Amino acid sequence: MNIEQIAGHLSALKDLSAWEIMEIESRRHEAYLIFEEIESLRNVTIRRYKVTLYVRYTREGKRVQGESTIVLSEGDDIPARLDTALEMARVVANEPFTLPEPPLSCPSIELVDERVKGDPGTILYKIREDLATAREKDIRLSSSEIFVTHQNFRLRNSLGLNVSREETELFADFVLLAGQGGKEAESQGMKHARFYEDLKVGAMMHDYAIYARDALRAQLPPTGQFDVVFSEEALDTFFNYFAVQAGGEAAYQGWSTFKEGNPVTPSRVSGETLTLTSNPLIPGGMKSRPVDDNGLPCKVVTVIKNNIFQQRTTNKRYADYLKLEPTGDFANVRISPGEKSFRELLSSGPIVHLLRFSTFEPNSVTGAFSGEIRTGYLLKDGISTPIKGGSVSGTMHKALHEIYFSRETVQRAAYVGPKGIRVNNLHVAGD
Amino acid sequence: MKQLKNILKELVGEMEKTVPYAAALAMEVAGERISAQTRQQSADPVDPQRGIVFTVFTGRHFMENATHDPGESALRQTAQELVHWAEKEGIDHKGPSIDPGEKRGQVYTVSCYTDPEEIPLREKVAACQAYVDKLHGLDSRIVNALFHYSFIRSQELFVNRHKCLLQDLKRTQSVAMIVMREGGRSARLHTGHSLQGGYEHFPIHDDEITRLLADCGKILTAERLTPGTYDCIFSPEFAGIFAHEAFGHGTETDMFLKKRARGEEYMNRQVASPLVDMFDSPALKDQAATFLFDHEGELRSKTQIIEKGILCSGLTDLNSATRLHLQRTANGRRESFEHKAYARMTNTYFGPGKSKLKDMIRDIRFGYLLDHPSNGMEDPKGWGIQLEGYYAEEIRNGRLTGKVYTPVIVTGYVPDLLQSITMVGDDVKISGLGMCGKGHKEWVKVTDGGPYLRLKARLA
Repeated sequence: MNIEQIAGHLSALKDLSAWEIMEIESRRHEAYLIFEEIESLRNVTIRRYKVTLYVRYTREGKRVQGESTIVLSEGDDIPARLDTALEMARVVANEPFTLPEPPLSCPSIELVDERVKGDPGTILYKIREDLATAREKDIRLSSSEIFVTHQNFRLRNSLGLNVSREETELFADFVLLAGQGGKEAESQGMKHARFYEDLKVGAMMHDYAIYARDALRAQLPPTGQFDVVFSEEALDTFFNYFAVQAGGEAAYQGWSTFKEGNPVTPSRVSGETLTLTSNPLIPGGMKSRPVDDNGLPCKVVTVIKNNIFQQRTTNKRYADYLKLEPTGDFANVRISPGEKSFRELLSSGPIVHLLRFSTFEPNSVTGAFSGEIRTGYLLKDGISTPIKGGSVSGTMHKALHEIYFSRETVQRAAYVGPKGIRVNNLHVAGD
Repeated sequence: MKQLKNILKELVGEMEKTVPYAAALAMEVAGERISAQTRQQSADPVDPQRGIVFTVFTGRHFMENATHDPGESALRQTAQELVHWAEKEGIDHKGPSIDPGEKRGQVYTVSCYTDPEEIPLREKVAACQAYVDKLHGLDSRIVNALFHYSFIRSQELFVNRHKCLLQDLKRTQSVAMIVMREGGRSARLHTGHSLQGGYEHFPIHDDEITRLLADCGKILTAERLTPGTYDCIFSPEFAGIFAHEAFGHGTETDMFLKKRARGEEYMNRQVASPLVDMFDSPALKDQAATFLFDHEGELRSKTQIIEKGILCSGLTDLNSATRLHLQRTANGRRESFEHKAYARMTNTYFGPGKSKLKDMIRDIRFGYLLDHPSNGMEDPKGWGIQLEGYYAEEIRNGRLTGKVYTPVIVTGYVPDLLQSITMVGDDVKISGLGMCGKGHKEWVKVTDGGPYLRLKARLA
């Protein structure tokens, strides 16, 4: 089975108004360790084709578009499976949209580490070594998982679009244990990177060893209103509410509250303002890509500038539906830095500094958030006390009332922006 | 799938000429997902996720090679490559031995009262759309409504030297979701079910739709509650997520092996109120996470995790059971053939007690009834827990007042919460909409549930 063969079958289907084929070829090497011992070694090789069929017809006097997506792999009866998808497409009635034309040019982004591509087994072994050598004497490496992946994507559509992208991906997950016997505590670190140089698990292990040690003496946070500084893992999902609300789908489905030219928070603000960009072109970004899933060249989009909503991020479907310029889906989030240093954000306490949650995912409709604290510190009277358990809660609207961004920036998997973000007057629940 | 039986048996035999233990698992998913929402529809066949994973144990560790290609030559090549790789890694015939289990060939098929294939596609899309239209018709505050139906057929074939097991699992899931908006405020809520069987499970009962609308309307105008520790009633759904997070994850024995679960030290010790019984069972009738055998070939059985407050059993996968000399339970599960097997939950629930809800509420002077859970997370090492939900209804002087707060988050120390349980309802309900991750990945279908529970909890 290959993409040309499938395209040939699709061209022979009479009723189709359009089609797309995404070929996904993936080879992944995996290692799982419990303490120093290998638990399991795995190799996974996959090639599959995601095929979307579109039909146009008239229903109740209105032109509509039907569509269905099917995944094909080796051993499938291609005509029979395509017939199934076609039958499904014919019962769906959506507003029509057109697929992207072949792009005149695509942005070029570095997404492949040639060493990972060329010798994934060696890189996997090297990461394993990095984890072992970075382990500190009083800390045990309870378990680790290492994935080394090389993937090729190729997209064709019925308008002649034919684009491809190649990427490598490294993933390391480790759990560190501090203490012995009755008193033990853990910290779990996870990191995705495209390039081996960006993984830097050794430095990360050092930080997480500190968190594991601190967890041994961590207390519940006090209950009350606090100024809270978010950093490290706490930044990864902090802006997801804005990314989803800014998307074309939220607008089309009627639940986005954002309007171009209006502030994203209804009340007056003190402190600094939010400037948020969707950036698909960050080298090594986990959401970096030259084209989106429909083959539309991705663009850098300033979504929010100084708290004012500027522009939606939309794929071709929602751009056509909403009559907007298509930009591609939301990519890596880039947040503009502020004026204060990270150290300044942590001063004038008491401050609750939060680095890791068990989970932190703001509600994409309401903006409400709450997260159980895994790693944090209460900074009071010049003393830093580790805290764990309890929660911080609020809403994204209220968070913007008084927010400050550090001038130092960091790059994480799909985030580039301030190293720390301070939100004043959040509710912390603990002891 | 049946056609693969002979070739997989042959290849397992071939591999065991070199390695101490070998097995093969073939998986294929089929089915359909249909949804209608206010302005959009979709109908797609499910991703077939068809493939085969070969497993060998070298005497030291497990190794696996997985392929999407079911052709005979590809299977032979995948198996041979795995053996050569194992030889390169080194084989130790004196290492721990893997028990292949008793000799058994068995087929398990979930039947459908109404085969979804017998229902015309157009009718299914129209039925989804009818729910969306009905929801809009019932409340003008709804800005978006969605009805999602899926039918998943999962065929799985496990082969080792003693076993040849085939299961044909079918489940139907229906979900209704609404977003309401009024006065610049928004709220989102869903309801639904997932059960083994066919299209007979498509409808969502009118009572559930009525409750969805009423509760979403209350959430829309609700404020956040004042954080503190309160007398609480957990609904069966909330009890379910509590069971799952509290001593579901905490008794997955691969976590024992990694010294990541404090539960290992507390086996046969009191961890909960004597009123508490807790189970995990892939044998529960009609539930979405029910099966005949797990992905490592272990036949299903019911595991009692907590009996009268005493922690009594863990949930094992093959590796941790072998290393820790524990009795195997059918909890070795994987997301697909592409993924590794871990110790995972199936249907996890609190057992019933004797109390009625009205008696549980009667002497609460000030507290909350928690319902509509959204997600949870547990820390098996530190026994911290986080449960989140959309709905906390005030209880004053023994009565529900109708005043609702949202969202609500429960945090606390697992044994404290479990030991604070003072009343357990007499009717267990299972909720099937959940999926469970290991850490932040490896998603498998699970269900959870329980009766109403009365306990003290820290809310925010």
